[in-house]
Amino acid sequence: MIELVLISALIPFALLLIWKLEGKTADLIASLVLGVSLLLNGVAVYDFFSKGSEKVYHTSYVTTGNLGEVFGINVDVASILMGFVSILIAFLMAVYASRFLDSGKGKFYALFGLLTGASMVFIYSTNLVQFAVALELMAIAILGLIELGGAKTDALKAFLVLNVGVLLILGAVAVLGTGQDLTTATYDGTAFLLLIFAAFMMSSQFPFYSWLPDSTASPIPASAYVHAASIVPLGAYMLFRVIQYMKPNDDYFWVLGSLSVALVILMMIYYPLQRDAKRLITYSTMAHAGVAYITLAYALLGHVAGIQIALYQVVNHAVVKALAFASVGGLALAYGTTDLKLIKGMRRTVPWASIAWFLSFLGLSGVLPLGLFFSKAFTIMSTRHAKGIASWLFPTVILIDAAIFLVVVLLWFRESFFGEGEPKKEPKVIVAVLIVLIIVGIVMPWVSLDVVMKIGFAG
Amino acid sequence: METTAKLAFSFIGVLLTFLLPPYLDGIARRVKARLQYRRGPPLMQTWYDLNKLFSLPSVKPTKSALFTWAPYLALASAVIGALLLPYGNVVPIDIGFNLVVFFYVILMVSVFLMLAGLTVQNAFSHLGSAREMQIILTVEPLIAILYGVLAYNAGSLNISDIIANLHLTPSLVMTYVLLAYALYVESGFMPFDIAEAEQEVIGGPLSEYSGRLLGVFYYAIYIKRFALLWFFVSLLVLPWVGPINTTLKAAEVLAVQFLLTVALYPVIASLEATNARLRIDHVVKMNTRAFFAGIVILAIAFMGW
Amino acid sequence: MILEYAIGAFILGGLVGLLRDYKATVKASSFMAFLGSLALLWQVYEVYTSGPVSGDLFGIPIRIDDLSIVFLLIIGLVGAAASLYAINYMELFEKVGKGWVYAIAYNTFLASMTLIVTADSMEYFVMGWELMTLSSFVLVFFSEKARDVNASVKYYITMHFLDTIPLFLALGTAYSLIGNFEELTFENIANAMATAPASTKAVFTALLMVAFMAKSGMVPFHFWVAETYRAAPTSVSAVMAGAMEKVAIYGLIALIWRTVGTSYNLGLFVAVIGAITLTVGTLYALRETNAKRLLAYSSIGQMGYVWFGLGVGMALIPKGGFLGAVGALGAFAGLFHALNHAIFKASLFLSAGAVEYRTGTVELNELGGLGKTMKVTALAALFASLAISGVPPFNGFISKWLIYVSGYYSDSYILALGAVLAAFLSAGTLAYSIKLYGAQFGGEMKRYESVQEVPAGMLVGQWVLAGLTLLIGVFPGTVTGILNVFNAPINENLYKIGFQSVMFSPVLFVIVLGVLTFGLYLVFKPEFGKEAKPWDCGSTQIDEDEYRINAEGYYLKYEEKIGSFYRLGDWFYRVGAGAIHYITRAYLWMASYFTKIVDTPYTRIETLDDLREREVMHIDEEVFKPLIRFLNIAKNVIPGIRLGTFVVIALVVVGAIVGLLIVM
Repeated sequence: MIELVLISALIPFALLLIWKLEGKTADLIASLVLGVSLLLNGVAVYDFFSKGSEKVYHTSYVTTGNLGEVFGINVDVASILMGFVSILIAFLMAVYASRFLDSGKGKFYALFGLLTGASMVFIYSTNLVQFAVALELMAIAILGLIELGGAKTDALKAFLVLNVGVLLILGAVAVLGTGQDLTTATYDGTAFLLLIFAAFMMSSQFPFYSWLPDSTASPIPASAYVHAASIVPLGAYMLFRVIQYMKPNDDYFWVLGSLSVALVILMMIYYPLQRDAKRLITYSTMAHAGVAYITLAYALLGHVAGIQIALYQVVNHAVVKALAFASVGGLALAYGTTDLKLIKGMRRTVPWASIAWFLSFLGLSGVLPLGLFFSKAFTIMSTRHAKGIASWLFPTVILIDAAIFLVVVLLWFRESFFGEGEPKKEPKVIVAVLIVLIIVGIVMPWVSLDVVMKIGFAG
Repeated sequence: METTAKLAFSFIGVLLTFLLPPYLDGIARRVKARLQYRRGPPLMQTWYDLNKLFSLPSVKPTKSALFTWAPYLALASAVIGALLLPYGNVVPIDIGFNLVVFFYVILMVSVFLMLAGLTVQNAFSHLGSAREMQIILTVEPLIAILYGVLAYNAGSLNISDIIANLHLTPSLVMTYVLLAYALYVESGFMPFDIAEAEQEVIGGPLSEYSGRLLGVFYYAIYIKRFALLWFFVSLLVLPWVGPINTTLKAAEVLAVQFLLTVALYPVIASLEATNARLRIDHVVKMNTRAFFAGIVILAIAFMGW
Repeated sequence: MILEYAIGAFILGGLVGLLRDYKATVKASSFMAFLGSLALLWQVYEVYTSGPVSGDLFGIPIRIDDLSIVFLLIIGLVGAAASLYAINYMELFEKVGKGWVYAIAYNTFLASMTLIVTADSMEYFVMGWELMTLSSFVLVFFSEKARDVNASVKYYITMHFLDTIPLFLALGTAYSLIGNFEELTFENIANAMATAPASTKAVFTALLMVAFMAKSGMVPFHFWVAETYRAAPTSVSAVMAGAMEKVAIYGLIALIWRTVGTSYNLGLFVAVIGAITLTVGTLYALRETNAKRLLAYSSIGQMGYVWFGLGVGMALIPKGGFLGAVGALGAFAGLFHALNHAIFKASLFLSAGAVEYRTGTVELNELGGLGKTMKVTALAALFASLAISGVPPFNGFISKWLIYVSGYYSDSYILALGAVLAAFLSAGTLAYSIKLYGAQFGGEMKRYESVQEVPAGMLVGQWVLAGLTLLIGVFPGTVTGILNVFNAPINENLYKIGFQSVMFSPVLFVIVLGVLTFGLYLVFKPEFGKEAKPWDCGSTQIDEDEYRINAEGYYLKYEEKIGSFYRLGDWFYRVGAGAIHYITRAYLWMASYFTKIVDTPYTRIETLDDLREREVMHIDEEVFKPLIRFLNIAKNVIPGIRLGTFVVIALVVVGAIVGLLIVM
């Protein structure tokens, strides 16, 4: 089974070969490659759960004397869940992209494959070197993807910030030595602090939070993947892994908690200023990553619920965010813009995209039936259990953030949703992706809740 | 008390309810006439008027069934209201000897009057109905608060308990005064007959009624006035006569009730004769003041005075 | 569990949305909702006869106890009538389309309320609550008219701030006591609360209180109600006013009273809120001229009665003894009134909807004369109007009367004054009901001469409820068994109902009234002479349709005289609007520091759109500006530098570091 996982993680790299291809062939190959990867991963997932979800499968492929394992695959209930969600969204976005892009398809798919493969390698990793290398690859991919959108400075910015993240991880490696293999790690304060900031770089948190909003130039399917199941949530995933294996004490509780809270508060200021749907959901991505970090801060107090709910939050956010981007893509196709000010009567113009828009944008503020409702509920429940002032600060900030986002969305809803509009044709593929995402979004939280509840601290 | 006596008292109650009210109006008319140095009509005059109305067919301004039925429902409500009260110590219809029921049953007369006024397409009758409702709106809170004082004073909302347990306090005296006022307004005597106000709105809700149906409505209104007065008289008399356990005493009490009712009507008549009709906003203002006075009285009652 | 059938029917009703045809969809889904509601009633009967049921519904822990069935009864009755009615009524919205939205939202709405009152886990309680809010929100903007969409947005935002946030925090508080996601049953919470510090209890109670006050439209959180009920399709408004508000009462009893416990002061608070609300709601309803808004304000007022009754219970039951009995009576009367209000208010909404169905308007000023053409609807409306005004022998009388009794007997000045207000505003209720009935059905108007009675399904929907107002009024014993969850010492048998010596016998009353009315009718048999048009002073130029008082004019003088009350209310409204204005200003001021002035400096920031014109400023960008400038210069100075160059540099650096780390 672990081989299946390894193969499914490596296959997407094959897309680098279609760099020069164009047109339908590229679409077909990309969908096929990621489809195969998804299929293999799915088989592995089935296999994993049929053998009992409490088992951990770990194989080291490359080991060095000084650093221990530098390339290995660790399959447990957390990585199997995250990996499956990631490859699922990658596949859906690749399918979605086939109707979305006009030219430069080969280049796009190649970079997208690189991103997907790197993300998968990242997910199944339990050593910091592998994290660093995979992140470097992701950074390169996103540099290319943003450049495709024509925003060179922004591309460079994202690249540089992510490289700072890589350097911070490497710093932690230097501090930990062989302990960089998390399965053998013992807690080290300096390394943990470095890793917190490395994760913050990835998730576009303090102090370098502006690279993500400026990266919206990249094609929508790529943005969707980056926001939903790649770099941004993987920052939180990495910290989740670190906490799960290192079992840190609460020395840095306030560093992690207060910086995340500060970011979430900052996001509340940014929401109403946006008129571009893409940028609006970008800020929400950052806030949701912040919420995951807040829950991780709670985990620092030694509560296993903290890491469980953090992953639950990441997984639920992935689906909702993918749906949000997909709906915005639908709008972009129909109106030629994502500026909500210019979009009127979307319910008549693009019925399917409008449904997805309604569900996902409300869903982002934690409205049923999508999963963020549940993760919000569990986040509130667990953080209300935190210590001291945090027991009020954390849940209140999360709730008010969601409420402000909801108000902003509802005000746009009032302006853009109803009214006169000419029905336009929505490509079937896009509709299919939307429907799949809606169904997954409704079903997933019920399934994944049981899965994340099996996560525990290592050892 | 044995059943026959009970039946006899009930029968007297029924007789009083059906027969006395028009006579009382006759008395009032006589008194008013005398005050104006006229000779006045005979005491039976109101009966003659009613009889004449009963013998005339009605003009039909609408097909609505409610228009036809409202007078009868109003009359039935008024009669029930009157029969809920004690005659001597006997209540003819014991469907729940309590204040709130009495309050609502009497209200039903107005409800059907208003509904009747609204069934026809006539601005005057609509206006009359709306006025009737506005008076109710201002007088009901007053009555509600006075009932509150009575209930607190006696510890019950049951009329017989109230009668048995009332004890004399300053607040109770004030309550009696205010209650007299409230019931006077509720009865729609001059200067509070704003809803019907012949000269302004040609009879208000009744303006489209004629003949027999009008007679029935008038009859209902007389009985309602009688019931309210009888209620007040009973509150005045019964608490202070001690337990009534013999037929003789009951008969004496009934006689006192009857005499007091008859005696109070000239007072009402003289009030009517010496006052000009108020405007609706005046009434609202007066009753609002009375309501706040009631709140004070309730507070006084709760302080134990 | 029969509940499964109900939920199954609701799910099926939602799935019916897959049919493409609008009419087929709304009819079939409404019918499934009707069946589901019937199943709920069956479940009520089952539990009533054979005791509480616990179980598991699709993984959701369920416990249907004596309290749940009171509310299931309400949901079932209102749901059944409104759904039956909706089968025809929803045709009104054919132009809007999207029948599937209605199918899903309406069935979800009913199912979520069912879930709330039966779930035995606070998590699912909150989930059901959110689902209820969401589905009602969707139904409110169903018509897609701009004004309705506005109302729905206002509703949802209000609910989010006043319901979702406090509920989530309360849920978190409960979790922080128990520390396990799976064990948040009401019983466990109650046990944990028993040993919790007083501050935790107070916080928990306060949070939940806000949520429940907001949902049942208590002052000062009543501002959303009128527009929301006006905007929703009328059959939905009926369910919202009839059932959704009551769910908050369930929360009050199940989550506050039964888990945290009650005290005299808490009860007094609830009662005072109720007394204030019944005053405000009723007096505002008096002034209203839109039938649905009038009914919405009336709902606020009637919910005030319910809260007042429950408040008396919460205040006095802990005292025990005679006062405890009075308290139990108050709580019983409150619940009874909740049921009664559900019945007559839903019925009134359905009647208003019937009028809307045929005339296209609910503006009372424009309506009139429909009593002639819509006889059956008119009679149903009359029944419900008399019931809501508390006229005996309708059901409203009994519950209101018992509420007064409990207030008068409470031995507390404040509660007694509350009862006085309740009795007074009963007259106010009568006033607006008379207006509502008179303005729609009174008189005769040419304009509506050709109007026809509504289809049979809608009539049955109205009459199920209108008939119940009389049935329950005459035989209160039919429901008192279910309603008496507080073991109030009421005396009742088939003939009468009462508390201690205060009794009322509705059966006897009806008989006496009937006999007298018919007797008098026979004695003075009406005899009609000629037919004549109403007397109009002999005018020839008069517009007969306008020869009347329109709804606005009914109580104008009274409204003027109590104008200071309305001015006070309007002042509060302005304060609220002002607060929102200043919050917005404060936000704009703060947010202006997060934007960059691009071309025209010194432009005034008046609205959000002014700010949106500007470029967003990021803190990190501003801090690292020198570095970025330097890099830019470097990029321009060094020849041949491209993005790829950076990639190569990064790869080399990272590779070197990794290599070094491995080797050293």
